[in-house]
Amino acid sequence: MSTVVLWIFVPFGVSILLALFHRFTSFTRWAAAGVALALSVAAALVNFGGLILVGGRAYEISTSFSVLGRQLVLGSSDRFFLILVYGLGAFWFLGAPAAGTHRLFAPLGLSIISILVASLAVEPFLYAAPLVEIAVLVSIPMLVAVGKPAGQGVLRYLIFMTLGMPFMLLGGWALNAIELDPASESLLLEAMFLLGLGLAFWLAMFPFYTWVPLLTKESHPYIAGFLFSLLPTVVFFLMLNYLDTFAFLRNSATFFQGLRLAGTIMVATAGIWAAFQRDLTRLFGYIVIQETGYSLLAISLHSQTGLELFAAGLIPRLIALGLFALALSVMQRHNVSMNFEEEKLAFQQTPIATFASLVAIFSISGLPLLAGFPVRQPLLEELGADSVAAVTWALIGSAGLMYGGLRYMAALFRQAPKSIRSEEGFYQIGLLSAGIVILVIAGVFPSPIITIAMNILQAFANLF
Amino acid sequence: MGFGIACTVIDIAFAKRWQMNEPVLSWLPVGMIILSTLILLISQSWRWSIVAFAIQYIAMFWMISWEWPLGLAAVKLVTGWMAGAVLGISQPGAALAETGFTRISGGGFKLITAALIWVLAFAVAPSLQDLFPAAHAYLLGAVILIGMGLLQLGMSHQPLRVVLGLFTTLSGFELLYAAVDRSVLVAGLISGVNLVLALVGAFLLVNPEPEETL
Repeated sequence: MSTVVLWIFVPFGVSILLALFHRFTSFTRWAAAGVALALSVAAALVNFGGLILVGGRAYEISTSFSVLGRQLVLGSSDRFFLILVYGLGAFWFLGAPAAGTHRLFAPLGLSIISILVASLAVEPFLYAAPLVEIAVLVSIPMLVAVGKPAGQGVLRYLIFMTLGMPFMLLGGWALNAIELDPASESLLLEAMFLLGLGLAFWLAMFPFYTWVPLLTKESHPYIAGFLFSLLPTVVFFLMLNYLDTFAFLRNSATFFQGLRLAGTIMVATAGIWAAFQRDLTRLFGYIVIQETGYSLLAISLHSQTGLELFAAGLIPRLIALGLFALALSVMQRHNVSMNFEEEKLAFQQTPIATFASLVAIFSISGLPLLAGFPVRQPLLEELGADSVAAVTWALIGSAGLMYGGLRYMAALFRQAPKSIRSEEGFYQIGLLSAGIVILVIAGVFPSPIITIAMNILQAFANLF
Repeated sequence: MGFGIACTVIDIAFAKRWQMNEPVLSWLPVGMIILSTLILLISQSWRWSIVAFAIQYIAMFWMISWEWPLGLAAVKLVTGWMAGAVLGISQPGAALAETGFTRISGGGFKLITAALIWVLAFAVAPSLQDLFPAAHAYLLGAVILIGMGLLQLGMSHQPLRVVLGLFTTLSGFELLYAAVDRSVLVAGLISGVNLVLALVGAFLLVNPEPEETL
């Protein structure tokens, strides 16, 4: 028995079985959620590299698996990542019945998670690029509405994510070449340029982020939310792996300056576009861009504190994105318009969903007493100590997003609601209410979530 | 495939006989790449596009065989042809019709931009020899593939053109990567990526109507 078999091959095999039975949509959703939850709990309980007792017999859980002369390794340091990523899967699959997703969402979603786990397990991890690309390709069928042509957002997503793969592969080769010739300045610049470009494509960094609002507008918001919570998380882990492994990269001031510049531009531009946005689904896209920008800013601090702020921001960000995506899906299911000008009846029809979307927007923009604030405030403080220009633009970005949220609230209550007749189901109300409560509790009592999130950093022993 | 292998064998034989750095007939695959990528860019017929796609992979196989063992290089050819076959059998009919261009002016514009890419490739390829240990013609072929693929991606809205553009760009990068790494695992994974990309392309072309859910 191996951790690789348990957390990569088993879920992948289950996803294939679920794909065969995709017509039984309800069954596949609950089964995928059950498997993801079981794997998340197992990751917390199982002793990696130790023995487990099954039916009176002891089995050794090895942490590596050999494929074509290379190793897939999932050790104790990956435990929290497994808990997070399969917990994330369970969280999204449990919400799928309320969101009314594509019938392929659960099977393909589970296979995407297992492929992305494989991308982080492969050693040397430079081979992760093709696996991430396969995960992206597998996601395409669930992004396209059944029986309809693919829109520009999906095609651009396919193009930009695919273009990232060769840059990451070539960047990985250049990094290996530097190990053999550490004095080569040109190789170092080449490696940073290639890796930077690859990461820019994969994380939808400036200027390669135009497809994000297009995709959130034309695809199912819940599926887009699933991808935007999972893919950047894994790519950030890959980036931290690169930094952890290659000393010259983590000691390079140029690399971190590049991250800061990209992060600042993303936070500022996304906030400014969000301030003038009239479509809630496109606003979701700008929120995703701004969140990625803030994560880049945290890492760009080039310090232990910056890394801790990145980790601390992970869980509130994922919960807020999940809540917003679910709220949008519930509104779409009840034919509520996503356009601000036509929102007059939104609050009457779906009061909990509209309220949840407001809470998610304000949490992400860093409003006090919500989950985003305890992380955003120290991040801006640290950033301000380093660069006044960067923190000014970041504040403009956050203010822009908050203004966008206020405009949405004004659109909702342009006319006083005469009577509220909620069309939301019990399950939808339950999930949305849970999300709102968690964001408020995490805002008032942030310590437990931040303490849990710090475990992520165990995998990166050499960083700072 | 037979033609490609024959050319490769002749190529290797001539190269060994005269101990030249640049393989003999090395400009022939570059010519094939220029021609096939131009057809992919301009053609309004999916049949011609698939034929050009197949020729592009013969040229790519020919070039990779200068760097890799013949058996491993053949993986690229087989994968490319399988991808072409998958895309070929998924045609709904008018998959290449562009709405933004008229046939003559659009073709002329594309030809001029393609010529700019060729000029750029001829200018850039020699400088790449400092980074990638490969023949001049090899790098020229790679840069032309990347450039023409990006041009195709920038000009197209049709799923088939986008997928063919992605294949062309990836082929160029695969040539560059093959010059520096011979890993069987990466070759296998990239072949897997190409096949899944072909299946995604087929899905985008035929995107089926919903089945009844239970």
